Amino acid sequence: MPVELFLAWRYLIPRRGFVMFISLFTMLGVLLGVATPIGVLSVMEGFSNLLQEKVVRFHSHVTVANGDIIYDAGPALERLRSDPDVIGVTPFAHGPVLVQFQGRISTPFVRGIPDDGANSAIPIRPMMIAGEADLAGDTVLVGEAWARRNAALVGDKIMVYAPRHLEAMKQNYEAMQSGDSDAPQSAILPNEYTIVGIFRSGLEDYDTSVILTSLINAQRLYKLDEGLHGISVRLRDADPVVVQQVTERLNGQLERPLFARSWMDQNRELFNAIATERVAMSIVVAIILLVAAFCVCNTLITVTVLRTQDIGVLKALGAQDIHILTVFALQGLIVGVIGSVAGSVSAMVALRQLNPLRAWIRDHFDVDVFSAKVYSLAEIPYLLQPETVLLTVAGTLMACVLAAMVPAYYAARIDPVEALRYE
Amino acid sequence: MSEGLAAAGIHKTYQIGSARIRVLAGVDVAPVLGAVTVVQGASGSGKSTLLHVLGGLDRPSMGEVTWNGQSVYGWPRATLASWRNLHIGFVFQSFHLLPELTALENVEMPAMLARRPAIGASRKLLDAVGLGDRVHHLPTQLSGGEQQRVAIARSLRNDPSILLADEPTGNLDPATGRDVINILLQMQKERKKTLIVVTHDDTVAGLGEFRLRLADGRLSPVS
Repeated sequence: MPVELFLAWRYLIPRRGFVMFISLFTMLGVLLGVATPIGVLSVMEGFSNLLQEKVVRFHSHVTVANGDIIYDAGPALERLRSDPDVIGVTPFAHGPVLVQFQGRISTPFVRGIPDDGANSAIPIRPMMIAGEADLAGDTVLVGEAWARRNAALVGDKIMVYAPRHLEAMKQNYEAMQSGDSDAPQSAILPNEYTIVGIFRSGLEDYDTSVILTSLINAQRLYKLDEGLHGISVRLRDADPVVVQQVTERLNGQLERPLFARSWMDQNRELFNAIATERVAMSIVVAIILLVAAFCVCNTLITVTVLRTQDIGVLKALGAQDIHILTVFALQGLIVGVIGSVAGSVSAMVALRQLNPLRAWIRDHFDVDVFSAKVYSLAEIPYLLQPETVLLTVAGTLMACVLAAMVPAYYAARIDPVEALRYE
Repeated sequence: MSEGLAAAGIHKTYQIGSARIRVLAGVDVAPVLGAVTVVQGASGSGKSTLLHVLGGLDRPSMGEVTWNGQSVYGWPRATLASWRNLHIGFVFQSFHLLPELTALENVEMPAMLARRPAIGASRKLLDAVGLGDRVHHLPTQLSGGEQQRVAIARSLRNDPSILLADEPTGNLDPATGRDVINILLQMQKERKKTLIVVTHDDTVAGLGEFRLRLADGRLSPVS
């Protein structure tokens, strides 16, 4: 074993004395400095990932639209279906409607998707929690939160008013204004649909404000004839970078005014908010690492002062400045390595026990630290990514070594004669 | 060119606050190779300072310490440290063993610093000073005399040609002191080392082949 490592270890973990406790507490500080960022960032990553998954599940990876109504979608659909990166294509119509149910009025969005197998981009069946995902005829699927708020069950009927009804109202009004008593007036009756299923997308927003029906129903409500509001496209590779690349490529291939937008573009505000939160959290994490570094620096200053006479002896025996510097820098590295390994393992254990711990706190203290009502998630999600661990550990090791360099440099420059006199 | 260690015109002054204290005022010394030179002097006369200057630990204010004609303080710090490691063996009054290391590890330390460890050689040295059965003891588990014997073994570990002993019996009772100085002299004789001992103990001083007195910052022979 090199003499520097031998001495660093002996000075850090002496066989007796108070220094051992100082070292252990320093390692504990580094452990917390590593475990906290890994834990926090993994939960944030898990939350973001789950949110992405749910957004993508509902909206697919790419949406093709023209900002108005697409009347001749055939060529675009053909092109998209034959694209090697595309595994699913779903034409849709989407817009706000007014729903009347048992005297209550709500204003969700209706989303019409094909009920004949032409929906290959939006998997509905995995989201179903009651009833069937069968959109044939005058049927709708409602979100769990909407059903809960309105006390609606499978089999109930809802009345839907859509833009075509508003247009009929306008025509009646114009006829009345013209004073032409012979002008035909139409009765404005809402469309009646039967709730055949309840879905749970996992996002409170969608589960409250989106109603699914067949594409034909939505086209009828919006008087689109064969027109569409857009085309959902599911890609083979869900990696955001790939999705963005494919979106750009599609934009080069689609005939204007059609354009493609990725799910990131469509939800930019939401994910910008998450990104901002992550930046804020990264600052907190950096501060935690800084505190751990100060902890290491403080300990090594203490150890250096305690070892002043030993440094003098070592120099008398022929130790060079670089030997002494290395001994103390290695102490920082050893603290960093032990603290990082212990911190990483602790974070992994803590993440695994996160939900049992949450349940225990809820059962014993009646406090729910992660309310399902607030987050729309039954469990605290986490995603432990190797790069999170590696970056945190690398940052910690660097901070520990840099923190150790200050006392190490001081130790290396100690005058041996002064040190030998030191008591 | 003079062989081995020599010092010429050594001055050493310390600045303490506004006071300027002169400790050495023109010391010339060229220890006889393979012999024991004793430097006597009262407490505070600068004996330890002289030893530190000779051993490359304390740069003189003026004058030169030479090794085979080369000025050692003209070398880079790393070269000076390396020279100390290979050619100088220190024995201190307060033993100065490293408290976290066993007797064996303390003796081995100069060899580890020279990147040529051989634990067997350290064990032999401890055997030679009569501590073969205490190799794994920490300094706190050894008596003063035993600690000084470990320090003697350590000073010999890299087989240096110069041994510098600073009041080696100063912290020991007379009987133990005698044992320690006998071991030191025995080792010096067996291994043909150049030994410089500073002491204020007349008994120890009487054992030297060459005796010098340090007074008023200058060395003079003791008749």
